[in-house]
Amino acid sequence: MAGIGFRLKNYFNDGGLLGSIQGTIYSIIISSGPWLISVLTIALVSTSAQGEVGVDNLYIFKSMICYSYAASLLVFGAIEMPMTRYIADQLYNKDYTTFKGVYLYLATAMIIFGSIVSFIFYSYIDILTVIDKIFAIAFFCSIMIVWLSMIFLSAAKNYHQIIISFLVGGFVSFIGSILLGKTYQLTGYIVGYSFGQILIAILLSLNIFNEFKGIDYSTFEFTRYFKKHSNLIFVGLFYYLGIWVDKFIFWFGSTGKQVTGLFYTNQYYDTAMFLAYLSIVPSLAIFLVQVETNFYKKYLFYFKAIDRKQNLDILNINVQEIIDSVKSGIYNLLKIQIAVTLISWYFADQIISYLYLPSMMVPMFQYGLLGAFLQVLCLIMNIILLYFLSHNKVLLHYFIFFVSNMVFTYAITFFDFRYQGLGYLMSTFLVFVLSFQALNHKLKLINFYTFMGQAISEE
Amino acid sequence: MSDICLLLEGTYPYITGGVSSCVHQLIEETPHIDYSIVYIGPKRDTEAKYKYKVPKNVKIIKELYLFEYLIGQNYKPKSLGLNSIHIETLKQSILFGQKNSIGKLYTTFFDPNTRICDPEELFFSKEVWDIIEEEYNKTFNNITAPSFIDFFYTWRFSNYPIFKILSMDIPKANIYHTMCTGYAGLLGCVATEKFKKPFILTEHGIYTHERKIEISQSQWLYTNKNDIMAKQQMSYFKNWWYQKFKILGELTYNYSDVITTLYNGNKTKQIELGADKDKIRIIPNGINPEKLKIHDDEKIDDIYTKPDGKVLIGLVGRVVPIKDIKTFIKSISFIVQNNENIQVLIMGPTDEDEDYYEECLTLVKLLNLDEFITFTGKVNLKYYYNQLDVIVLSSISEGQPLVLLEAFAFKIPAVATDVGSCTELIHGSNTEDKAFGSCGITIPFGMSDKLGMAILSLVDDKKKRETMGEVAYLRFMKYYQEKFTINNYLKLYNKHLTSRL
Repeated sequence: MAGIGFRLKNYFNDGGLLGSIQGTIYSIIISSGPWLISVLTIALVSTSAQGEVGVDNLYIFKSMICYSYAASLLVFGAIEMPMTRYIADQLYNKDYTTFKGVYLYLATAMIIFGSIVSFIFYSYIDILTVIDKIFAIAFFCSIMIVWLSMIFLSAAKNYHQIIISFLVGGFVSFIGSILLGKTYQLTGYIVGYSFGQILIAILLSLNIFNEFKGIDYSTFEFTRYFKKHSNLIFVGLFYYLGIWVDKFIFWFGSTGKQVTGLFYTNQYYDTAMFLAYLSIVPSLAIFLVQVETNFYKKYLFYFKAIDRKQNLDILNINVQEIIDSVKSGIYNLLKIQIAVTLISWYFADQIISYLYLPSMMVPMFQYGLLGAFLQVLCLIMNIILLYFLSHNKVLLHYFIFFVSNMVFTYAITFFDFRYQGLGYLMSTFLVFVLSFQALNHKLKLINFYTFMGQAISEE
Repeated sequence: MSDICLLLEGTYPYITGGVSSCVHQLIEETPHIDYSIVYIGPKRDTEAKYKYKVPKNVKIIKELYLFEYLIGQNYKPKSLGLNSIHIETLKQSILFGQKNSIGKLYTTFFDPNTRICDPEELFFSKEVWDIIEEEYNKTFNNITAPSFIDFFYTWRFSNYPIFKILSMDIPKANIYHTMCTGYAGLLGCVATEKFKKPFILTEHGIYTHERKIEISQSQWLYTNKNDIMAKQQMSYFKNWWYQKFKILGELTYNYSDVITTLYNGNKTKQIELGADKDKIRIIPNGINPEKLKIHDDEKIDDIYTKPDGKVLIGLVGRVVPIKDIKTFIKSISFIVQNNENIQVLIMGPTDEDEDYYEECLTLVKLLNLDEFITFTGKVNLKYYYNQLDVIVLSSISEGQPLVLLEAFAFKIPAVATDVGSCTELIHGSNTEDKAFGSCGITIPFGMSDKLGMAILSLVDDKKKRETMGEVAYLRFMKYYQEKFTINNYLKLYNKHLTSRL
């Protein structure tokens, strides 16, 4: 995980305001780039499609994209952390030879799995043509490949290539769907859009094959990581379930709207939450650089100090530095995020009306802003907890996030629209409190957990 | 419930040696007593086999392995919510280097009937961590503070065996008899706390001293000789271990109702280490010459016959550094320069330290002694004793060597280093004993020329050998017969059985 973070740190260290701005932009691009580009593409395509295909078809098109992202992120969540562990260990041993093999195995597995699942799913959506369905399935598989490749590429050196891949693919999606859409309507949009996304998957795969030298197809060692870190599978899964569950409830609940077949949507809630998520983009960027790199450096120093047989005073100084790095990382993030969130919150009315959206979205946007703010803090705190091997704690937090978001959001559907989004906010607040307590406890007792946590064993 | 529970650390029935032979003898000669045995070893060795045919009156053998790490996999470090009294109990216990009675520690944390938490949870607890941290900060200032990870692991590894001992389910018996202090001694203390039964300590070698030698010789963690700081720290951790064993010793001395040892020299050391001198009895080793007699039905081929006209010199012992075989070989070189009319047998297993054995063989070759010296390996000594003219013991360290007693029974004079009880054995231990005269010669260890001269004086003087041989026999008959030893132990057992009934 720290690979790209370290590289970004160089931009900050090279000094000068220019370097610093460049670094910030890069980190925004790296942390949220792919996501932003995807979102931007969808927005552009939707806007241009609006005039061409009519509202119903536009909903179908958007639902296809939205469902694909939701489902693929759940799969991604399940494999992300065990695979990241595997890649980190391989990097540590400076052995890249297995990457291509492992990537191919996983990509193949995902294509097979994705094809079957989406084939079954789309067989319930009668309105789509065969070509629509084929490309919808290909689209789903390709975004799963994109997530998968991002795990591997976090260890990559040339991240310019990653951004270029997304830009090229996004551009092709945009042009493709507009050109084809004119003639072939919905089918044209699906084909054109999917084509660009498939291109991204191919380009990123090529990046992986160029980046990592050597090849070894015989290893299945990575499967051990899923067994060994089975709790991490659920950490990722519950995190993404937690993120999506309130949307699911709004889609399928009384407030939702059936598009066709199994496609449901809730345009207002989705849009409000999406706008709210945009507000945490800067936070994620700052986190990537400040916390992951600063903190990670101190974290390594601490373990090196133990290894080099330092005395307790020096270890305590190292512990204090870890705590300071976490504090200052979060503090720097808060400075910006509080400003962004409060300004957006204060001007919520204006923002919503500026975007020609109905004013009923204002409260849910405001709840979303606060919820997203807390969620980014939760994310950071739990990532740090993972560094201290509190896997089960983090699993508990994300499980609670999932369950509470489900329960609170469901409860909120019984009230009127002014309370929509409050369920998500309450859930993130609950998890925030728990995560804060856990992290606070952990940081105070780093030495205790590090030393006493050592098992007594033959090794 | 057995009569006697023997607590044996690293000896009977898996390891041969003086203590094991003595234990075996005791059990065998007292068939009317039921024994249970707790064998304490470092790590389980699935290949290991009993080295003795364990008699039928041993009813149970329980094994406890101190460095068998099974715990920890399922224990997450956490706070147990102990109150200040409990924490004080921990602080004032052997776990943190205090020599107070273990009663409170045992009942609070280890006795399954009364304990307030699982001992393994305790090992990983926040409370224990806090005390470790506190001790570290209390003991050192900023400049002297040693590596914390070493401090931490030294604490863990020096206390882990103690946790194991304290958590053991001890067999019930009427008397607990340990053959050393150390961990077996601690187990005896626990048994006393738990069952309130008499507790006997028999020390052949002085455990605390043996550990001290071992610790000072061990090469630990820091090897950079230029690093003065490191050296100081090394001695700190070495001292830590030594103190731990010293406390184990003191606890055992305090808890035992009676302490026995082999000879006066050991008694002095025990008193120095904190034993109450009124508790100490001397019970020397004894042997039964009947067991060394060759019966008529035995094959005559096995019996060693020495070459005509030669003087046969024998050393009985394992070929290992502590026996200092090399000095003995060098002394033979000295003898041969003056008198070639000798044959030398080195009788004992050669496979315990094969490197050392190889070095000995090389030395023999180098000194051109091939025609004089033979390594027999492990042999049945009874086929050799009646042929030996002189018995030699070149050891750096000894307790009360059985081989000397056996040689005495065969009227063989001895040349031995003045370690352990050798001086008492050869020149007599008290006035009455001394009146018999000397049955051999003692010399300092490690001096091949002195050893050579002493042996030579016997080789050259048949008359002297015979006189000393007679003294040896008389001394043996008077003090070192097996029946005396067994009777002494029996008396001890009987006394403590009745006194508590």
